Amino acid sequence: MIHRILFIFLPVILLCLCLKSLGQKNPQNLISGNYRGATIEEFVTDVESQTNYFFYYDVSKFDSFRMTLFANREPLSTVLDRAFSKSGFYYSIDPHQQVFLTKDAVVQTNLTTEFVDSSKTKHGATGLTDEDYGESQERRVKKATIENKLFQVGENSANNGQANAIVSGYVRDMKTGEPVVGASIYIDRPRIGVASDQYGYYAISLPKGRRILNIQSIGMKDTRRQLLLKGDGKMNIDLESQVMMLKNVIVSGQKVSNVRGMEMGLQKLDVKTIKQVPVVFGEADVLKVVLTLPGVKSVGEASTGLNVRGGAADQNLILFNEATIFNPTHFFGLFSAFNPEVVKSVELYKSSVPARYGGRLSSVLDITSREGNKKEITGSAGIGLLTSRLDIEGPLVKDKTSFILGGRTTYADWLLNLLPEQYKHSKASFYDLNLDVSHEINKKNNLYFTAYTSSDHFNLNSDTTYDYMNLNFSLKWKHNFNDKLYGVFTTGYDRYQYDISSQANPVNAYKLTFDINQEYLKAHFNYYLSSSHSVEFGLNSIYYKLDPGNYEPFSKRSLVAPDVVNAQRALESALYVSDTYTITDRFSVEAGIRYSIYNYLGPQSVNQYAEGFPKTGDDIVTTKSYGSGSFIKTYGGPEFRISMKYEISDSFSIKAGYNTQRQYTHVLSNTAAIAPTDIWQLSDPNIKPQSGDQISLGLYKNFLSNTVETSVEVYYKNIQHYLDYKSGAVLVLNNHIETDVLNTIGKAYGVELMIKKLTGKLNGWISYSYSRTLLKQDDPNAGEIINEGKYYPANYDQPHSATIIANYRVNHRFSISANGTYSTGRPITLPIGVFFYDNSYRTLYADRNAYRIPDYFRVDFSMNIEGNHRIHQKTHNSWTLGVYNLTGRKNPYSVYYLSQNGMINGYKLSIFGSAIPYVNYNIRF
Amino acid sequence: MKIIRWLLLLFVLAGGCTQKYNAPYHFPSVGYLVVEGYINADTFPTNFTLSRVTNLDSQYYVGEPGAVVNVEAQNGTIFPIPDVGNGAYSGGPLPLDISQQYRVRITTSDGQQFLSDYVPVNITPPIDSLSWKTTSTGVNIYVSSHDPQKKINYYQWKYDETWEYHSAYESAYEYLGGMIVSRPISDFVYTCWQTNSSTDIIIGSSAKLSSNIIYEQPVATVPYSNSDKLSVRYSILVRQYALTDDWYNFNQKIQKNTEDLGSIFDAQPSEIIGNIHCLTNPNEQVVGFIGCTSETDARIFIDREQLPPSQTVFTGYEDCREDTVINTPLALSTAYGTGDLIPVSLYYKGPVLFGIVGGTSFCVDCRLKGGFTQKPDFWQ
Repeated sequence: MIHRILFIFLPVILLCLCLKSLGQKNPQNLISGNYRGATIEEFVTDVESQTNYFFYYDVSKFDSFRMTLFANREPLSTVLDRAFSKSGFYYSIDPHQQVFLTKDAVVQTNLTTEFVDSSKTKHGATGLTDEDYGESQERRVKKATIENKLFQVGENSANNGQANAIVSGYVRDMKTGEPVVGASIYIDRPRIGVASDQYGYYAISLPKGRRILNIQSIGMKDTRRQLLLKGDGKMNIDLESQVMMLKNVIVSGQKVSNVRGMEMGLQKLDVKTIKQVPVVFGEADVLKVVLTLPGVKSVGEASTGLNVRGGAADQNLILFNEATIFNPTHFFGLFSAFNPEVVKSVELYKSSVPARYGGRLSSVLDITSREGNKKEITGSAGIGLLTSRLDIEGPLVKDKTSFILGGRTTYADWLLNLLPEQYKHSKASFYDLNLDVSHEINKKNNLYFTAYTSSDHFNLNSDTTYDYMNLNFSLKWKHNFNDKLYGVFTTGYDRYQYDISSQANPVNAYKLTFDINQEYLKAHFNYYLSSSHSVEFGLNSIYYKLDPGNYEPFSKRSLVAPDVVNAQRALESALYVSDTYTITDRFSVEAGIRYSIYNYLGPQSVNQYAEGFPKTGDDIVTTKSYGSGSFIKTYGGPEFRISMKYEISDSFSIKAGYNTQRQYTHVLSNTAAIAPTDIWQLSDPNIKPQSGDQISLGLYKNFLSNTVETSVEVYYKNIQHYLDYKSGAVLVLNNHIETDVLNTIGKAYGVELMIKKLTGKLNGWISYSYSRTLLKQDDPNAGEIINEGKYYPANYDQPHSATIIANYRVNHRFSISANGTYSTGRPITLPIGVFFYDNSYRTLYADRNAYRIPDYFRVDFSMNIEGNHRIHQKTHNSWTLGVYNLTGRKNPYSVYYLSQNGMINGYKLSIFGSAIPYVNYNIRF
Repeated sequence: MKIIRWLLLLFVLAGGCTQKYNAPYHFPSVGYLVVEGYINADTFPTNFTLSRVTNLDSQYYVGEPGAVVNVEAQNGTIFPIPDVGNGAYSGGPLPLDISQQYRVRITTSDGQQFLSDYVPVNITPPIDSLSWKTTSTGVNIYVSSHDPQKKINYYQWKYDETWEYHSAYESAYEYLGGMIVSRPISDFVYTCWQTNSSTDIIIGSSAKLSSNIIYEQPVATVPYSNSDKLSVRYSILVRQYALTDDWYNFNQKIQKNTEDLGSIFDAQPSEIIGNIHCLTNPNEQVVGFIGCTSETDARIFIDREQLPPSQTVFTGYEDCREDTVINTPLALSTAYGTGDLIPVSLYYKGPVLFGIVGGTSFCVDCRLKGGFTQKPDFWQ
């Protein structure tokens, strides 16, 4: 027994070197107290606060121990003798005032000396302070021991008179070495907490002295670290995955973050949650799950275009590891283009957007991919009805460099073979590929490389071929200047392109190509000024080059005259700074400003129009040419990002925010759903940038020990210079696009309610939102007034919507999920009359979006069945079975009227008009 | 948009569907004036139809008679187009001057005045050829043309298709006064001709090409199934009109609004603004576009024998069966008296006329499918 205890305590005892120069609180180390049924922890805490003693003991051995005694300035040994008399517990006190409490045996403190000496030569005096236990294989110790160990942070000599010190470091997964994002790191008294960022990095400013740092994260076992804080220093933390702890109580890490966090309107999803939600064909889909969050809508099932708080689908900045994804969909919007096996987490900012993001009006969707396993090569594969995927990850250099490579491809051609004869020769395919490499140069420098591509191809009966593709590269260097300051420098290239070609008619054979490219450079700094100020600042710059349309002959016989719309170029730069100021424990403010400047660059020829007249193709006064590199037009201005939080109680807070945004790019689309063949357009002298501001207020209250989160958020938003289109606008290959678009102003407002329970056997969320989005075009000089200049609803204005996502874990291997969605039908323009023309009855349209399609309602169901959880087996497998649209309701996607054989017929189109079962098989190795 | 059609099919498999739907809204009648027709630049009369926009729930034609319609030239010449009843107006041929531009002024019986913009005179180039190709589902008809003047880039086509078809059984007899008698040749109802006109807007453009050529522009698709058009002999007359770009765009808008819907990425329906304006009430909308052009045409014939022999072609008579009625007056009168059954041939057992073979009137009388037995003049 003795040797076992020694083994456990060995690393602890090594610590005693660090503990020599404790401040003298009570020179005689006498104890006073009145303990009534106190646990050992209560007693130890109290004694440690009065004296210089430190206690080491195994909590589990003392779980039944209670002590009742009164002491008045008595030595520890006297008190302990009384407390432990006849209890079977023993103590020993060493010369360094360390106290070892044991059961059934006494620790021989004099044995420790030689271990101390040997460790001295091996590790040095501060060996433990800058150490990463998880990565250091030879010194891997059991977590339980680490929790009981005291870590000294900072040099003894670092007493610079400041009351606080900054602890920083990485939170990592003990098994894979991947960073843990969003782990909450806090101390209880005084209550100070932070969350780890996307690199798993955290920095927290704490009062010096002895502190217990608590660390919690979703899916990870809670842990804590005992710190002796002397000055700024490092503390890396490894977390153990929850899954293996079958008998453990499930505790969620982020359970208080919605109340305590600064962010408003921020929704975080981890990929585990995403995978639980049933979706069509069982393809775990990041964007479809985002659509279930309050305030996020889409025009229909075939569209993953997001409308966030009344914003258009092009007003979302979709970032995948810092790279902008212009078209995040496959199959014309049926699936999102992100491989769920590679995605780690998704964050949606819909109201207080941090100052580091900009360039879009409504939201930022930040998708982070996983870093590869740094310990061993692992992988997973999945087979579904439409796609298969394979992912491999592992170290390139163990514990230093890792990679993750993921790919998905479709074999939807079997679906095509079921089609009638004339479609037999059609082909449809897509794939996406991800490669992430992360490399730790040294403790202070990390490099991250991301490459992403997604590609779609359609060939319809050898007639018209559609291709579209995303291509993104980014390289990121993270440098820790010191414990308080780190910087992230990113450079990258983003591209989206599509082409449409047809060779069916040799004379008219054509190919139409479009592409948008951006190169960017970002420098971002985080500076932990003090416990009350955390500052972020940075600079970023994007160079755009856009080819709006290139129409070319596509066969030798083709007579197509090449038509090239001039390429557009621009430079968008921004400087930003923001400060999170913790005024009191409960009240904090985050204030940021971002100043963006946009330069429209030559070479270009710009049409100039008569002032005060509608812009039409016939009214071009002059066309002015600009040379290469010239600054044709500059727009810019400040954007304000302010939010504040007041905690009324530990579980109740109120937050408010004000945000302004500018957007210099536009998507030209006069279809209701965002299409892959939509054209992007840069702001130019004739097309003004969009701008918007939003004011929001939220109440956050947690119940049942923070396991149930509730929130209410209200917002009001103004939008300027949003583009709508003249009747019958021509958007493709238009050299004077400004003559076909209209500037509208918009307003959006709403209230969002959410109840969320992410822990326990039954988890999920219920959300409801009431929201309106209205647009107005009343400028007679624009050439066309819409709906008599009154406010009219936007295409995606769906006032009521409600979602329930529920997951019930029957046991660790079997869970069932269900979700339900309801929303008001979206607005449409219906015919107001009928006329006879060209030998057919035809419909006449007037007021835009004056009517609505029928309401939407859907219920889905799925079951996840996992194989056994034994760790040591070659593969782990799981099955997902489900039914999409369980009730088989024929939800309308659109309503339209067609003139057919001379008569008008009204139709309702449903994308998924029946219950669709699916099955998916996944294997991990 | 073929892509969309493809997607729709995918969704059909996935359970997606289109259903008939009528919006539960009532729209008040707007009663806007609809003007259809063009100023004929050829040696034929100019025809206009004036009608009114009606309710969505009531698809019927409301002609606008009693209006005064004049074609006006820039130089002040006025050609009246007289009312010929039920909203139709016809006059001319008009002696137009190709160097002039023309417009139309309409004064309706309630005193409202409408005026179009001036439009130039378009002379339509001849059709170079009509061609056809078989596909797995039917026959596609193509038109080719070019403008030797290199002026015309925009076209519209309309067509009239006529086809000969045969009933299932050729009847040489009829039942008259309780007797089976021979049918006069002139009363034969075996061969019929039927005519249809295009109801879709068919437009094309050579604006994106380096020369003014229309090459194999599809104008019509004749299916093998669900239509008997190809069962014997088919003919199509394609009429070609040269348009201006504004006129083309107007037609394209109507086409998008009324024919190109039902996909996932529908363009939003838009207001249709033509070149006719109401002078007395500027807010009053007018539907229609006045243009000035001429018509050229071409005709081709396609025989069943020209189609792949293995190809089955729908006749509509696939379910027809013959019945034999015993030759007794009672049986004959019961079977043929009502006209539901028509005698086709005589059935002898040896020398005895055992019975009369008949078919249902639908299977025997081709006229019941909508055609006429009168052979059209142009039929070869």
